[in-house]
Amino acid sequence: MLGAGRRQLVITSDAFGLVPGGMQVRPPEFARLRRDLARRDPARGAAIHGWRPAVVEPADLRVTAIDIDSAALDLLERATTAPGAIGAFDPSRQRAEASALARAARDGADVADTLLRLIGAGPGSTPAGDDVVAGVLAGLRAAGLSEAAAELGARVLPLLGRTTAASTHYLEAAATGRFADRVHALVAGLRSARSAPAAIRAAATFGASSGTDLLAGIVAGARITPAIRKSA
Amino acid sequence: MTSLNSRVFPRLYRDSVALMAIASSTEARDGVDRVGAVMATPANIAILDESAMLPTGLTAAPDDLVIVVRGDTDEIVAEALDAAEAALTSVESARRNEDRPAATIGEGIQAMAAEDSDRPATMAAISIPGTYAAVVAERALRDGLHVFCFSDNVPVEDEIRVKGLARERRLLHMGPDCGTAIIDGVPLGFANVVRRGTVGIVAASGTGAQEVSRLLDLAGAGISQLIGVGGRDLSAEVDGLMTDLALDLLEDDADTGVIAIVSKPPAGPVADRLLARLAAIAQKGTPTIACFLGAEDTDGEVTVRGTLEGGAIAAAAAAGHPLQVDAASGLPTTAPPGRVLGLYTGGTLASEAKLLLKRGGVTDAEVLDLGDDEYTAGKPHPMIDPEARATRIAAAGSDAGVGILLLDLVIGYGASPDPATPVVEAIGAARAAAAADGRELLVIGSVCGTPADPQGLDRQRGLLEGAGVVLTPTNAAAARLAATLHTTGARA
Repeated sequence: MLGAGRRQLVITSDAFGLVPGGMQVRPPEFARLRRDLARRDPARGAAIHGWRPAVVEPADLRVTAIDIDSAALDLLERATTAPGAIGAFDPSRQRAEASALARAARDGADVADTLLRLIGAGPGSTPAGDDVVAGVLAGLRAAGLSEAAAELGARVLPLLGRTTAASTHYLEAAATGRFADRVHALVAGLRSARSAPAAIRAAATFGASSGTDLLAGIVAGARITPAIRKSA
Repeated sequence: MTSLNSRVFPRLYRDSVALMAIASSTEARDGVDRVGAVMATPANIAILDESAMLPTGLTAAPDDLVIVVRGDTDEIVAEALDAAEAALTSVESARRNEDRPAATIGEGIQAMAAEDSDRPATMAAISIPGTYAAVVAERALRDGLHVFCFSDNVPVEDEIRVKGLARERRLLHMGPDCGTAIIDGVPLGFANVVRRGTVGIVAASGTGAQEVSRLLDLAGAGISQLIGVGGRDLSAEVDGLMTDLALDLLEDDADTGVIAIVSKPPAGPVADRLLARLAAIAQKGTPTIACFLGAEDTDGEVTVRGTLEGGAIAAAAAAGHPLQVDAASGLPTTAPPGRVLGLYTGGTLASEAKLLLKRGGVTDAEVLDLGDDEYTAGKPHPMIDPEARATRIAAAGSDAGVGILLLDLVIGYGASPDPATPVVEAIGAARAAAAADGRELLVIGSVCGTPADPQGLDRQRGLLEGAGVVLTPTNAAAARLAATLHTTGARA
């Protein structure tokens, strides 16, 4: 899809939300762009018509520490136990490694083998294992363990060649602390038992299992903090 | 001896939903044992190897899609791979089809304009995760559309911002978390089929609006518009932003002769301002009713009523169609001992029941709003899926402390196609469990619906009556009956 030296630019509409390093455009432009890209001549690349110069506002996509509610954690965790087998590939195998990865990251233990098993592993063009790793990175940051997240991110970066180009993009951003809007929507579910159901519903709409894989990682990352307040 | 083969599709991406469908349809073919459809990353190659699914000599890169099939014979495997490849290609051509449904507000506006340029889009109904709802609502408002926003969990800051924008443009933003509206006779969300009439309703409560509007239908009065504003509109933060605009619109509406507001009691300063506004409207000749659940009934320039039933009676009278809510004859005069358990699907109906039980001197009643987030977490609302309540009704039969069950049954658009049947089955189970223990259970309820509702009001009522449910004309009457029987009619 991408030749050497080319850079991937992810363009989304506001219905999908921003992704790190990406660009969000208004719906009519998005529709036009998608049409133009679908008709592109692969040899020449896409011609994009009718774009007007506009103000571009950069967005802050970092996940920062939030108050995590224990009842919300329980609700979200329960939502990640549903299986989603794809032929010989069941993402629950990758989800099962989330807690061990989060714990090892917190304790500064060796994560090399776990990451080798997870990165690029499982169903999907962003393989389930990558979603789990991105989720753990977001969960750790939500729990205030940004140093552990940064350390884990540094271990992830050298392994990016082991997954798909689409996934590399998201995972590289996650390793450096930036996450797509949809990850933020899931992290917001940690705040209270009232906000959890919306996150669970949102997770169910991302890919076949991507949202739930992300959620499994987020819950694992968020759960290991010692400072969970009791639900009111 | 089985056969194993694979096909590599270099640099091919398909979304995981499509891949899952292709893998499972391929796996379902006769003679096919297992199928893998994954990106050929080192980790996935390792998983294939472990599960004896790695054909010898497979070479592929992480950006390549690989489909692996194990089956009884070489021929079966080759055919399965052909079928999978064909399915991948058809996904691709379907994707290019220009006839796919509009995916954004902008595309929707274009599609409707293309269909009939004389009837352009005027309203957007939004029902997406709350985090994104405000962005889409803002887009719709900027394109000149009214908004009906069913989404919940929309941050209050977003609500204030989009409602401010809507006000500026004189457009309705109904919601967020707006369950019910009837605009120009078109029901949105959960709504009953209510006859057209002269009462304009502004509602910050969904089932409250349904109960009031269906009672107006019963009275023969009917409604002009039912504008939902979302449960937080009359909070101190949102400050009635949309209620104000809705009142402007109803004041200007030639078909509206009476205005009623249905809500929980608003925040103090909001209530003062709103009552002053309603009084000013009344002085200009349009009777106004403030139906604030739990408020004390007062008659002045504005008629204030503390129950949905009271609000409906006042509005019907003002519209010239008095509502007779006679006590049904043949009501029981005694009840089994035990507390009152209310199992509700409608939130405002539950609140009204709680209020009237308390006013009736019942101190140990338990009334649950099963549509609350606490009970729904990820499951459909009980008005859509009656099963969760049915389970609780059945379980109540084994609770020796329960004597009276109090229920609502909401029909109309949006509600389950046959909510009475699971309730009836569950009541049967509950009664059997109670009888096995030498006890009885009295079930009292009301049906929030109109004769024109698709479920059939008479049919739903008939099912409940057949199961021995004591039906009253209003939810308030059901709660009052439960209170009376509990406090004075309990058998030893």
